[in-house]
Amino acid sequence: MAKADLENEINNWLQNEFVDENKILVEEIFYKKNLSKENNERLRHVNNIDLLDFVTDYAVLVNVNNKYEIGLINRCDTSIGLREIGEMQVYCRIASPIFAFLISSKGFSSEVSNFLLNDSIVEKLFSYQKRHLIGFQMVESSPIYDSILPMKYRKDLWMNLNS
Amino acid sequence: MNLNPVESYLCGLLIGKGFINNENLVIQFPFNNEFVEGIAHCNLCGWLATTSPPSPILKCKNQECRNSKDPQIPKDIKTKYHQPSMFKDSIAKIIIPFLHSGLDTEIKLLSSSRCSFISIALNDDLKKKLEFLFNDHKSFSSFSIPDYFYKTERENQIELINGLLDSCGFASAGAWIAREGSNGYGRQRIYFQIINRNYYLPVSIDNFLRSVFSIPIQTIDWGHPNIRDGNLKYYFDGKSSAFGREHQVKVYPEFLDKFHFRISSKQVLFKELLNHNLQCGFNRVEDWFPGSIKKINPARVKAFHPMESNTKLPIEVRKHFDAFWQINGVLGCKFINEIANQSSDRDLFLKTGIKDPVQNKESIIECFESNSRIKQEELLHVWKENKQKEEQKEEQKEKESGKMLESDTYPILVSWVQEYSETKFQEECFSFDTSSQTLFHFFSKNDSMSNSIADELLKEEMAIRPDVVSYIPSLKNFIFVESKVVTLGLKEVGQLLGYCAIAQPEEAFLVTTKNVSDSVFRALSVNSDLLNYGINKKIKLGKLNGKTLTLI
Repeated sequence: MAKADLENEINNWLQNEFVDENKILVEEIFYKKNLSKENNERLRHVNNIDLLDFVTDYAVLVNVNNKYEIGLINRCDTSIGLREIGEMQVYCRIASPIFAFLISSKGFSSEVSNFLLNDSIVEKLFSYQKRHLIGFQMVESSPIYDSILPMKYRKDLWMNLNS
Repeated sequence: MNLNPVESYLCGLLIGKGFINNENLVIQFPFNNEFVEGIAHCNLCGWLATTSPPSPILKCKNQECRNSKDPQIPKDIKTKYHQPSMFKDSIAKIIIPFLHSGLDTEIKLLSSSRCSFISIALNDDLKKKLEFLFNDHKSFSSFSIPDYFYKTERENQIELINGLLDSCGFASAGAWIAREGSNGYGRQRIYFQIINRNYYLPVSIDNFLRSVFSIPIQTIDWGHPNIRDGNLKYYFDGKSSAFGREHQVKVYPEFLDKFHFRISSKQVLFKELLNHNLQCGFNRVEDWFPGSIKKINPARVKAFHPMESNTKLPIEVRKHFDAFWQINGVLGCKFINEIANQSSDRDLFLKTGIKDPVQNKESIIECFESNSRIKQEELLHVWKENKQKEEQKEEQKEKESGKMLESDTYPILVSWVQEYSETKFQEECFSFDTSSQTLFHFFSKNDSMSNSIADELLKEEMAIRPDVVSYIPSLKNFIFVESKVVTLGLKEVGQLLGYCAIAQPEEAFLVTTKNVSDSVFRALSVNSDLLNYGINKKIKLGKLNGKTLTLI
């Protein structure tokens, strides 16, 4: 799948999730922006915004109980490997996002899938503060249920919002 | 101990593509391409049609047909099967419910676009049974068919093969061999594809199918240097381990009709191949072992291959072979060994195929070996001529670019980390450039470390690719060095952090020929744990200036 096609699918998915299901109040979506360099009044209310000196494919500014928070999304047109997970892990350690997704049209790479079926390894790689970054394969604007890791998020991708 | 048919099927899956971990079993179901195509038949005469690149038009194999001279068969005549959905549906709706019908345990599914995985929680009963069957073996790298299956019920034996077919069996329309039938051309085959590390399974499958089901095996294609790289092309090209692709056991589908694939894309292709062969009317039972073995012609021996003595090859096959059946023999093929034991000189038979007594054994063997040496020299001569031309081209390219590449830093970093680790740990350490492949594959094939050390490294989960590693024997652990020729940003830090979280190396260095970005320094000033990957373990940053590495 071409990058542009995956981006369209992610856009559709985000609209459905945020608008139809009304999970959270989205203030603004930044596409491939370095948030520390954005001149945006609402972003100034986000904790440690100056440290967010990196670029993710999507950064979502949300309002939760009148508090501004950031959600991060990276997309890969290759399968998700350790490098991609590690990169997102670093961003999460810095930004403490309210959610973080790694989305690929191919899912996790075969090389890493064997050990990603081990819960303790998943915990090491995916957890940050009290939340987890979440990875999955997206097809036709929907996450493929069986591809979602950590597995506990298969029932509710937005569990992080409650933590 | 008794197994039920479901457990037997599970054993087939495990032997083909499974791991036994401490708490679970993991089975892989890989597929390379999104779509797999069925057989193309000529729209005029119904014979096999194949592509003749670069033309996208298919050509009929029937010399009498108009479509063989002036081909007009469109490519879309082939049926296409969507593997990701067919694999996933088959696993979720057929295989997992079937496994649940005979196993009282939790089963999870993880799918991606190229592979599906199932994880089966290990309970005490299953653990005991698997220990009995496989002893200390823990993965498809070393499983073979346990003796138990020679004595069990027919249904279990069939389910074992069904499991093997679903895990390492492949039906492909391109797997035909040039054969004339009474009513068609091109005889299709089913392949069992076995990971190169496991030399024992191909013979184990051959013995089992032939002894238990009287199924003829068309051939075994070994991933051994003498067989896969007989003309040493890969070796001379610097791809010394390229011979190490899967071993293939090839069987005609008409002899596998009592079995079935539960993966639907494999099953529909299997039916296509079977119907094709039946329609073509191939009457010959072809078997690599027709009950006897032909003598090897001394003029047609294979060249010596330097990798035939590689210590990563199992000891039984760490030598020269001139024919594939010789490998079968040394790995326990009972049919070859029956003949070998009846021969006047067992060793001579396994070396030359000569069964009857001879006067001049030494001179026959010397003749074989001398011919192999001559062939090696001839091949080397041809290769050197070609190589010289390629090198001239490469030199020209390097002159034109003039930039420092990441690969240029690897030898410098290998020397640096070797000195660093030996100074720090006061013992002999082993440092390597591992950039081209995963740690697991690197150490599986690298011949320069002793086996005792390599065994410590051979964990299958080491599917990671640091650029340079140093191994510290007393700690049974590594130092990782990741090299960059760009400014180090958060992205680069994250990439190494992923490797470290899994492998937990003793130390890890991220080195650049440029600088460390302000964003990394700023993030570190607020979050000092950013580079942590374990208790008291932290990635260290360094700058490479020429051949000097300075830690930051």
